[in-house]
Amino acid sequence: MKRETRELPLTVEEFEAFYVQSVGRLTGQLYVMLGDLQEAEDVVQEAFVKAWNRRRRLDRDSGPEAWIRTVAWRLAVSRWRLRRRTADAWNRRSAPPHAAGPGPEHVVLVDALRTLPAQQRRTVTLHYLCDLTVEQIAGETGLSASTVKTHLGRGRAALADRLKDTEQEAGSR
Amino acid sequence: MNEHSDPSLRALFRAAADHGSREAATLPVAQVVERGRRAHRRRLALGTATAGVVAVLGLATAASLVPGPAAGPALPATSPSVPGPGPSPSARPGPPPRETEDAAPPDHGSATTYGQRTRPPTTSDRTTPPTAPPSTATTMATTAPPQG
Repeated sequence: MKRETRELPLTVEEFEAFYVQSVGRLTGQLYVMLGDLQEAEDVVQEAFVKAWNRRRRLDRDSGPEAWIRTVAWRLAVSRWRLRRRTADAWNRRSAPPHAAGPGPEHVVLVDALRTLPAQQRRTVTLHYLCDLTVEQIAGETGLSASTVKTHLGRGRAALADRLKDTEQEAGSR
Repeated sequence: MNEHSDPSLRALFRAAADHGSREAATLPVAQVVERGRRAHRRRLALGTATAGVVAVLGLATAASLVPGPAAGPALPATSPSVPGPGPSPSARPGPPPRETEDAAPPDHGSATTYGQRTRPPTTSDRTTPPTAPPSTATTMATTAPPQG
Protein backbone atom coordinates (compact mmCIF):
# COMPACT_ATOMS: atom_id res chain seq x y z
CA MET A 1 0.00 0.00 0.00
CA LYS A 2 1.57 3.24 -1.07
CA ARG A 3 0.99 6.34 0.93
CA GLU A 4 2.38 9.77 0.81
CA THR A 5 4.90 10.39 3.50
CA ARG A 6 3.34 12.92 5.80
CA GLU A 7 5.13 15.08 8.22
CA LEU A 8 2.19 15.41 10.56
CA PRO A 9 1.30 12.60 12.95
CA LEU A 10 -2.05 10.91 12.81
CA THR A 11 -4.78 12.70 14.63
CA VAL A 12 -7.01 10.86 17.02
CA GLU A 13 -9.74 10.63 14.42
CA GLU A 14 -7.34 9.37 11.77
CA PHE A 15 -5.95 6.75 14.12
CA GLU A 16 -9.43 5.56 14.99
CA ALA A 17 -10.36 5.35 11.32
CA PHE A 18 -7.19 3.43 10.58
CA TYR A 19 -7.94 1.01 13.41
CA VAL A 20 -11.50 0.33 12.31
CA GLN A 21 -10.40 -0.11 8.72
CA SER A 22 -7.49 -2.45 9.27
CA VAL A 23 -7.79 -4.34 12.54
CA GLY A 24 -9.80 -7.19 11.02
CA ARG A 25 -7.50 -7.54 8.05
CA LEU A 26 -4.37 -7.48 10.18
CA THR A 27 -5.81 -9.98 12.61
CA GLY A 28 -6.52 -12.33 9.71
CA GLN A 29 -2.98 -11.94 8.44
CA LEU A 30 -1.51 -12.66 11.84
CA TYR A 31 -3.84 -15.60 12.24
CA VAL A 32 -2.39 -17.15 9.10
CA MET A 33 1.16 -16.38 10.25
CA LEU A 34 0.71 -17.65 13.77
CA GLY A 35 -1.85 -20.39 13.32
CA ASP A 36 -3.65 -19.30 16.46
CA LEU A 37 -6.58 -16.91 16.36
CA GLN A 38 -6.45 -15.95 20.02
CA GLU A 39 -2.77 -15.21 19.77
CA ALA A 40 -3.36 -13.12 16.67
CA GLU A 41 -6.05 -11.09 18.41
CA ASP A 42 -3.83 -10.42 21.40
CA VAL A 43 -0.74 -9.35 19.54
CA VAL A 44 -2.62 -7.17 17.05
CA GLN A 45 -4.44 -5.38 19.85
CA GLU A 46 -1.19 -4.88 21.72
CA ALA A 47 0.46 -3.55 18.58
CA PHE A 48 -2.32 -0.99 18.13
CA VAL A 49 -1.92 0.10 21.73
CA LYS A 50 1.75 0.69 21.06
CA ALA A 51 0.91 2.44 17.82
CA TRP A 52 -1.25 4.93 19.69
CA ASN A 53 1.83 6.32 21.42
CA ARG A 54 3.87 6.23 18.24
CA ARG A 55 1.46 7.77 15.82
CA ARG A 56 4.24 9.71 14.11
CA ARG A 57 5.91 6.50 13.03
CA LEU A 58 2.82 5.39 11.22
CA ASP A 59 3.53 7.89 8.49
CA ARG A 60 6.88 6.57 7.54
CA ASP A 61 7.69 5.00 4.20
CA SER A 62 6.77 1.45 5.16
CA GLY A 63 3.17 2.34 5.97
CA PRO A 64 1.19 1.90 9.13
CA GLU A 65 -0.11 -1.59 8.40
CA ALA A 66 3.41 -2.92 7.92
CA TRP A 67 4.40 -1.33 11.22
CA ILE A 68 1.49 -2.97 13.04
CA ARG A 69 2.19 -6.30 11.39
CA THR A 70 5.88 -6.21 12.29
CA VAL A 71 5.25 -5.22 15.89
CA ALA A 72 2.56 -7.88 16.26
CA TRP A 73 4.91 -10.52 14.89
CA ARG A 74 7.66 -9.51 17.29
CA LEU A 75 5.26 -9.63 20.20
CA ALA A 76 4.29 -13.14 19.18
CA VAL A 77 7.93 -14.20 18.94
CA SER A 78 8.55 -12.82 22.43
CA ARG A 79 5.65 -14.84 23.74
CA TRP A 80 6.94 -17.98 22.10
CA ARG A 81 10.32 -17.55 23.68
CA LEU A 82 8.76 -17.17 27.09
CA ARG A 83 6.70 -20.27 26.64
CA ARG A 84 9.58 -22.29 25.31
CA ARG A 85 10.75 -23.15 28.80
CA THR A 86 7.54 -24.86 29.64
CA ALA A 87 6.05 -27.97 28.13
CA ASP A 88 3.77 -25.69 26.06
CA ALA A 89 5.97 -25.89 22.94
CA TRP A 90 5.04 -24.23 19.67
CA ASN A 91 4.09 -27.40 17.84
CA ARG A 92 1.74 -28.62 20.50
CA ARG A 93 0.26 -25.22 21.15
CA SER A 94 -0.26 -24.63 17.46
CA ALA A 95 -3.23 -27.01 17.45
CA PRO A 96 -6.31 -24.79 17.58
CA PRO A 97 -8.83 -25.63 20.28
CA HIS A 98 -11.73 -25.53 17.84
CA ALA A 99 -10.06 -27.49 15.06
CA ALA A 100 -12.28 -30.07 13.43
CA GLY A 101 -11.29 -33.13 11.40
CA PRO A 102 -11.24 -32.64 7.65
CA GLY A 103 -12.33 -29.06 7.80
CA PRO A 104 -12.31 -26.36 5.18
CA GLU A 105 -9.27 -26.02 3.01
CA HIS A 106 -8.15 -22.82 4.63
CA VAL A 107 -8.00 -24.60 7.96
CA VAL A 108 -5.90 -27.26 6.29
CA LEU A 109 -3.62 -24.51 5.00
CA VAL A 110 -3.21 -23.04 8.47
CA ASP A 111 -2.42 -26.47 9.85
CA ALA A 112 0.14 -27.00 7.11
CA LEU A 113 1.67 -23.59 7.78
CA ARG A 114 2.16 -24.48 11.42
CA THR A 115 4.56 -27.20 10.44
CA LEU A 116 6.86 -24.70 8.76
CA PRO A 117 9.63 -22.77 10.51
CA ALA A 118 8.49 -19.38 11.75
CA GLN A 119 10.37 -17.28 9.22
CA GLN A 120 9.20 -19.43 6.31
CA ARG A 121 5.66 -19.14 7.53
CA ARG A 122 5.95 -15.38 7.81
CA THR A 123 7.62 -15.00 4.44
CA VAL A 124 5.09 -17.04 2.45
CA THR A 125 2.23 -15.25 4.21
CA LEU A 126 3.62 -11.84 3.37
CA HIS A 127 3.99 -12.90 -0.23
CA TYR A 128 0.79 -14.86 -0.91
CA LEU A 129 -1.55 -13.01 1.39
CA CYS A 130 -0.18 -9.46 1.71
CA ASP A 131 1.04 -9.38 -1.92
CA LEU A 132 4.46 -8.05 -1.02
CA THR A 133 7.39 -8.34 -3.38
CA VAL A 134 10.67 -9.91 -2.40
CA GLU A 135 12.17 -6.47 -1.79
CA GLN A 136 9.23 -5.38 0.33
CA ILE A 137 9.42 -8.57 2.37
CA ALA A 138 13.13 -8.03 2.86
CA GLY A 139 12.47 -4.50 4.06
CA GLU A 140 9.80 -5.57 6.53
CA THR A 141 11.57 -8.60 7.92
CA GLY A 142 15.14 -7.37 7.84
CA LEU A 143 16.22 -10.39 5.84
CA SER A 144 18.23 -10.24 2.67
CA ALA A 145 16.51 -10.67 -0.67
CA SER A 146 18.27 -13.96 -1.29
CA THR A 147 17.15 -15.29 2.07
CA VAL A 148 13.59 -14.25 1.32
CA LYS A 149 13.71 -16.11 -1.97
CA THR A 150 15.07 -19.17 -0.22
CA HIS A 151 12.30 -19.09 2.36
CA LEU A 152 9.67 -18.64 -0.35
CA GLY A 153 10.99 -21.56 -2.37
CA ARG A 154 11.27 -23.93 0.55
CA GLY A 155 8.01 -22.82 2.08
CA ARG A 156 6.12 -23.26 -1.16
CA ALA A 157 7.56 -26.73 -1.67
CA ALA A 158 6.77 -27.78 1.89
CA LEU A 159 3.21 -26.49 1.64
CA ALA A 160 2.68 -28.29 -1.62
CA ASP A 161 3.80 -31.57 -0.04
CA ARG A 162 1.66 -31.17 3.02
CA LEU A 163 -1.43 -30.06 1.17
CA LYS A 164 -1.05 -32.97 -1.20
CA ASP A 165 -0.67 -35.38 1.72
CA THR A 166 -3.78 -33.92 3.33
CA GLU A 167 -5.76 -34.35 0.13
CA GLN A 168 -4.66 -37.94 -0.15
CA GLU A 169 -5.65 -38.64 3.45
CA ALA A 170 -9.02 -37.03 2.94
CA GLY A 171 -9.57 -39.01 -0.24
CA SER A 172 -8.69 -42.29 1.35
CA ARG A 173 -11.31 -41.89 4.08
CA MET B 1 9.18 -17.34 -9.45
CA ASN B 2 6.47 -19.89 -10.07
CA GLU B 3 4.26 -18.79 -7.26
CA HIS B 4 2.84 -16.03 -9.40
CA SER B 5 1.16 -18.70 -11.52
CA ASP B 6 -0.30 -20.45 -8.51
CA PRO B 7 -3.57 -18.63 -7.84
CA SER B 8 -5.02 -21.52 -5.89
CA LEU B 9 -2.44 -21.08 -3.17
CA ARG B 10 -3.21 -17.39 -2.98
CA ALA B 11 -6.89 -18.16 -2.80
CA LEU B 12 -6.26 -20.52 0.10
CA PHE B 13 -4.32 -17.85 1.91
CA ARG B 14 -7.05 -15.30 1.40
CA ALA B 15 -9.74 -17.70 2.54
CA ALA B 16 -7.77 -18.45 5.69
CA ALA B 17 -7.24 -14.78 6.43
CA ASP B 18 -10.90 -13.95 5.83
CA HIS B 19 -11.87 -16.71 8.21
CA GLY B 20 -9.57 -15.23 10.85
CA SER B 21 -10.95 -11.74 10.29
CA ARG B 22 -14.52 -12.90 10.65
CA GLU B 23 -13.91 -14.94 13.77
CA ALA B 24 -11.67 -12.44 15.50
CA ALA B 25 -13.01 -10.56 18.51
CA THR B 26 -11.61 -7.05 18.35
CA LEU B 27 -11.82 -4.41 20.99
CA PRO B 28 -13.68 -1.17 20.38
CA VAL B 29 -11.39 1.61 19.26
CA ALA B 30 -12.14 3.63 22.38
CA GLN B 31 -10.69 0.88 24.55
CA VAL B 32 -7.57 0.71 22.45
CA VAL B 33 -7.09 4.47 22.71
CA GLU B 34 -7.64 4.38 26.45
CA ARG B 35 -5.12 1.58 26.89
CA GLY B 36 -2.65 3.55 24.82
CA ARG B 37 -3.13 6.63 27.00
CA ARG B 38 -2.72 4.58 30.17
CA ALA B 39 0.49 3.06 28.86
CA HIS B 40 1.75 6.54 28.03
CA ARG B 41 0.95 7.82 31.52
CA ARG B 42 2.70 4.81 33.07
CA ARG B 43 5.77 5.49 30.97
CA LEU B 44 5.80 9.13 31.98
CA ALA B 45 5.47 8.28 35.66
CA LEU B 46 8.23 5.72 35.44
CA GLY B 47 10.47 8.18 33.64
CA THR B 48 9.84 10.87 36.24
CA ALA B 49 10.52 8.49 39.10
CA THR B 50 13.69 7.26 37.48
CA ALA B 51 14.89 10.81 36.89
CA GLY B 52 14.20 11.65 40.54
CA VAL B 53 16.13 8.66 41.80
CA VAL B 54 19.05 9.47 39.53
CA ALA B 55 19.06 13.08 40.74
CA VAL B 56 19.02 12.06 44.38
CA LEU B 57 21.81 9.57 43.87
CA GLY B 58 23.84 12.16 42.02
CA LEU B 59 23.44 14.69 44.79
CA ALA B 60 24.38 12.12 47.40
CA THR B 61 27.44 11.14 45.46
CA ALA B 62 28.49 14.75 45.00
CA ALA B 63 28.00 15.43 48.70
CA SER B 64 30.14 12.47 49.67
CA LEU B 65 32.93 13.61 47.39
CA VAL B 66 33.10 17.13 48.84
CA PRO B 67 35.78 17.20 51.56
CA GLY B 68 34.45 18.10 54.96
CA PRO B 69 36.08 20.24 57.66
CA ALA B 70 39.36 18.99 59.19
CA ALA B 71 38.88 16.64 62.08
CA GLY B 72 41.90 17.64 64.15
CA PRO B 73 43.14 20.97 65.48
CA ALA B 74 44.93 23.32 63.18
CA LEU B 75 48.66 22.89 63.30
CA PRO B 76 51.02 25.86 63.36
CA ALA B 77 52.86 26.71 60.24
CA THR B 78 56.13 25.88 61.85
CA SER B 79 55.95 22.98 64.14
CA PRO B 80 58.53 22.40 66.78
CA SER B 81 60.98 19.68 66.08
CA VAL B 82 60.55 16.61 68.15
CA PRO B 83 63.48 14.46 69.09
CA GLY B 84 62.93 11.22 67.35
CA PRO B 85 64.79 8.06 66.79
CA GLY B 86 67.67 8.35 64.47
CA PRO B 87 71.35 7.72 64.12
CA SER B 88 73.76 9.45 66.42
CA PRO B 89 75.41 12.50 65.01
CA SER B 90 78.81 10.79 65.03
CA ALA B 91 77.56 8.07 62.78
CA ARG B 92 75.77 10.32 60.37
CA PRO B 93 77.51 13.07 58.48
CA GLY B 94 75.33 16.11 58.53
CA PRO B 95 75.23 19.29 56.53
CA PRO B 96 77.56 22.20 57.21
CA PRO B 97 76.82 23.48 60.65
CA ARG B 98 75.20 26.76 61.37
CA GLU B 99 75.07 28.60 64.62
CA THR B 100 71.37 28.76 64.59
CA GLU B 101 71.08 25.15 63.75
CA ASP B 102 71.24 23.99 67.27
CA ALA B 103 67.79 23.21 68.36
CA ALA B 104 68.46 23.91 71.96
CA PRO B 105 68.55 27.62 72.71
CA PRO B 106 71.36 29.02 74.77
CA ASP B 107 69.87 28.39 78.09
CA HIS B 108 71.82 30.13 80.71
CA GLY B 109 70.79 27.88 83.47
CA SER B 110 70.87 24.57 81.89
CA ALA B 111 73.67 22.45 80.66
CA THR B 112 73.31 20.93 77.33
CA THR B 113 75.38 17.88 76.97
CA TYR B 114 76.71 16.46 73.84
CA GLY B 115 74.12 14.84 71.71
CA GLN B 116 71.30 15.40 74.10
CA ARG B 117 68.63 17.93 74.33
CA THR B 118 66.86 18.44 77.56
CA ARG B 119 64.13 20.67 76.28
CA PRO B 120 62.76 21.11 72.84
CA PRO B 121 62.97 24.67 71.72
CA THR B 122 59.89 26.76 71.57
CA THR B 123 58.71 28.37 68.43
CA SER B 124 59.63 31.87 69.64
CA ASP B 125 63.18 30.83 70.39
CA ARG B 126 63.86 29.64 66.95
CA THR B 127 64.79 31.61 63.95
CA THR B 128 65.30 28.83 61.45
CA PRO B 129 64.06 25.28 61.41
CA PRO B 130 66.61 22.60 62.21
CA THR B 131 67.89 20.53 59.41
CA ALA B 132 69.99 17.90 61.11
CA PRO B 133 71.58 17.15 64.40
CA PRO B 134 74.76 19.17 64.72
CA SER B 135 78.19 17.60 64.61
CA THR B 136 80.37 17.12 67.62
CA ALA B 137 82.47 20.24 67.08
CA THR B 138 79.45 22.34 66.56
CA THR B 139 77.75 21.05 69.62
CA MET B 140 80.66 21.68 71.84
CA ALA B 141 81.09 25.12 70.35
CA THR B 142 77.50 26.18 70.52
CA THR B 143 76.44 24.55 73.72
CA ALA B 144 79.15 25.87 75.83
CA PRO B 145 77.63 27.98 78.49
CA PRO B 146 78.39 31.61 78.33
CA GLN B 147 81.11 32.79 80.55
CA GLY B 148 80.51 35.19 83.15
